[in-house]
Amino acid sequence: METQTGESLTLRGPLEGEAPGLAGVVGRMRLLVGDQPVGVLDVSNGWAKLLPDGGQVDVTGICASAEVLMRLLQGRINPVVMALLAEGRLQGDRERGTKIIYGLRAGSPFNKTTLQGKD
Amino acid sequence: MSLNTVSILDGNSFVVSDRRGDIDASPIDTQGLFLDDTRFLSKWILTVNGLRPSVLSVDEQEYFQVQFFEAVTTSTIYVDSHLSVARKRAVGKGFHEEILIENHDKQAMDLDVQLDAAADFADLFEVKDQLQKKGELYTKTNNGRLTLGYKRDRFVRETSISANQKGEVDDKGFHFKVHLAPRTSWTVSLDVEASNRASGEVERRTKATVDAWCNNAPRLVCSWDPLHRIYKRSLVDMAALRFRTGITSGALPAAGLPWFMAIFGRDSLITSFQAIPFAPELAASTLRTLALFQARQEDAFRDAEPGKILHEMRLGEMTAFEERPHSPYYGAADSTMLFLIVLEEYVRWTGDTALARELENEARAAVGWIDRYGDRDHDGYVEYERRVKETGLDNQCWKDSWDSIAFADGTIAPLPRATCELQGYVYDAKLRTARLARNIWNDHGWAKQLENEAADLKKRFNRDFWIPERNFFALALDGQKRKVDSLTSNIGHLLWSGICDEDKAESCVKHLMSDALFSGWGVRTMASSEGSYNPIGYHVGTVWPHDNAFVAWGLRRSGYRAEAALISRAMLEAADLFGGRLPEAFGGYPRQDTHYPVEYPTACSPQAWATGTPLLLLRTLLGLESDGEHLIIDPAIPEPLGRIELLDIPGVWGRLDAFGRARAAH
Repeated sequence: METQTGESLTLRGPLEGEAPGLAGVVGRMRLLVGDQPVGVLDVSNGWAKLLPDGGQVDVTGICASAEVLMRLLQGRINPVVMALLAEGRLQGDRERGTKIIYGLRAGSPFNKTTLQGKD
Repeated sequence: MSLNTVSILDGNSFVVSDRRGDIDASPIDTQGLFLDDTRFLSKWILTVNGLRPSVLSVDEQEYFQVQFFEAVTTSTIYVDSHLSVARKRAVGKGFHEEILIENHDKQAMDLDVQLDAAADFADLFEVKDQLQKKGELYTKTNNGRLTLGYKRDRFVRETSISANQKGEVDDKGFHFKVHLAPRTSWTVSLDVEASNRASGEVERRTKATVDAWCNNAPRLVCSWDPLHRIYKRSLVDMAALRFRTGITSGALPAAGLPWFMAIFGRDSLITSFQAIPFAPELAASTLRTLALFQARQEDAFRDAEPGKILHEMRLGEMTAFEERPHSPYYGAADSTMLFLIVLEEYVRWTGDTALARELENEARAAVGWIDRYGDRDHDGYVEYERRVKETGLDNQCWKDSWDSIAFADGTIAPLPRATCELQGYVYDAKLRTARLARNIWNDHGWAKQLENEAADLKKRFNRDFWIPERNFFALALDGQKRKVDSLTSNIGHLLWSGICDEDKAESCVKHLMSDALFSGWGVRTMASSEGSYNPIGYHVGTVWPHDNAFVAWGLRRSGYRAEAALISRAMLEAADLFGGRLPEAFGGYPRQDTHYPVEYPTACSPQAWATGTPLLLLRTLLGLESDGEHLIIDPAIPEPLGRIELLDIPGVWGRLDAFGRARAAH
């Protein structure tokens, strides 16, 4: 499974699944590494899905590196620490963005997802 | 705070200086410009011709603004100067300062005006614990602007300083050469701006925004004049302590100046509860913010478990590098119950059922935490014990100093500790959540279950915590399930929650009003009869205003109107003697020995729940309650306070007035 998500970065592996910590949360977060779009994380009441970049979003998550992005998706980043160390920032509906990042910490479907440079 | 310092603040931005306006931080002094728990300026010293001006007076105009009046003099005994200095400072995302120097002489003067600036970028934990920095400091000058910086890996913080007058700028500060003709003046404006901060932008306060906040609260009319000043002080201080996260909308109360200008779950919730009849929007912001940061996973370092409400959030360097667990830290055993209590109280007062619907998942998770994690050993009671000794809090109840939970003989109780008020909060939280479940979430089965659990808890608690030989409830059950038998103010919180059986409540009231607990100024945290008692011990003998407000409110809820009025009156009289502003805590000395309540040396002031105390006392005196539709008014006002009118009380009813007056005893 793969989705072409940006000019040079591609997410591969599981691209959707259950995220129990996102129960009751609905929203779309655009994902960037630096200024490169990677895709959109679509969250709907306990289900999280990675989609190609595009469409309206509630919040944009800008990560300093691909490694930070993967930690975010896999629920391995604390959003407060992320902000304090300038590893990433949220633009737009920061409340919803924080809720999504926290929610993934309770269990993420993207533990085996990878981010690779486009062939 | 030291009497020799002057503080201005706005949310988590604050400036602490000496009475000249200078900042000269030392390891033992908390002077500086602080934002996000970081000291962005540690030195700010004005000299004129090499002399530091002498202070004449300090005009603390608003909580966010101050003016210092000074004279430049070489005399050591008499101030005989022709040169005066006025420094006007306002806090924001740094501060803005205007310096006016006036030559009152008939002769012209040439002046060297120097402002020395430096920043150590100390994390508040480093200030507190006198720790060394791990990164590098640097300075830059460019186009008349001085930048003070600090870098450690990706953690970069800067302070940028600029002036509106041309002068020399170097890495030590600003230097102006000024020629002042006779009877003329010179001014310079300086902007000190903190950058690379994690929290949201600070809204610049003005007198108009503070007035608008105060005017939106109910208007007080009363015959005891000091109460006007106390009430106004409370509203203004609460405005000052409002904190914006930049993530959730609205503002919530930070805990207190200087150490606790941060989100604290317990403090923000208690203050919000106190303020509900006056500024209910604080509760809504607090609940939303705490819900956002509710723990989702187990994390021993942060004492986090799913559903738990945070204890404290910090934004400094040590938190960033996870040398401290405050991102956020969850080491509070009561915040989760208080979250549910405030949610129900807020919804019942305001009718904002939308917020209750919005937070249903979080409320369910909170109840889940109480049962699954709060009760660690499944004995039916919530208890606490930190999981990481080096960084966790020993005591995770509101009396969080190390020696607060002690037996009557002074022996410290072993962990884990199940303090009595925690069980009261669980009881209250379950009953209140049952009301929300039934009335808003339409889950009648869960409501019934919660009520049954609360009833069962009450029965067990009255059996297991009661000390028949002393006729009060144990302060706690210790790690070996022994009753911690000190007499403390905690029993007053049991009246607030309603967990006491009626006959046992009566006995507790007698203890609360006894000479051992009631000093005449308020109920002590620990009775003078106990082994650990110390009238200036942080939680073992001092009087805490917020504690008293909840004891008084508990007495009212349990039908002890005269006793509630007596404590309310004593606390308001103390507030009057503190210039209208109650501190975090004060000495537990008997009133007959001290005409004034004795200050506690390191008390925070202003402190949020002390600021909220007069508000809850007013509610107590007027007997204000909401049944979900109507405002219930049932005053019990002691004679010296005369008549109290509280006009335009907001709630589900719109705005209503309450009136009460003292009645002579017949």
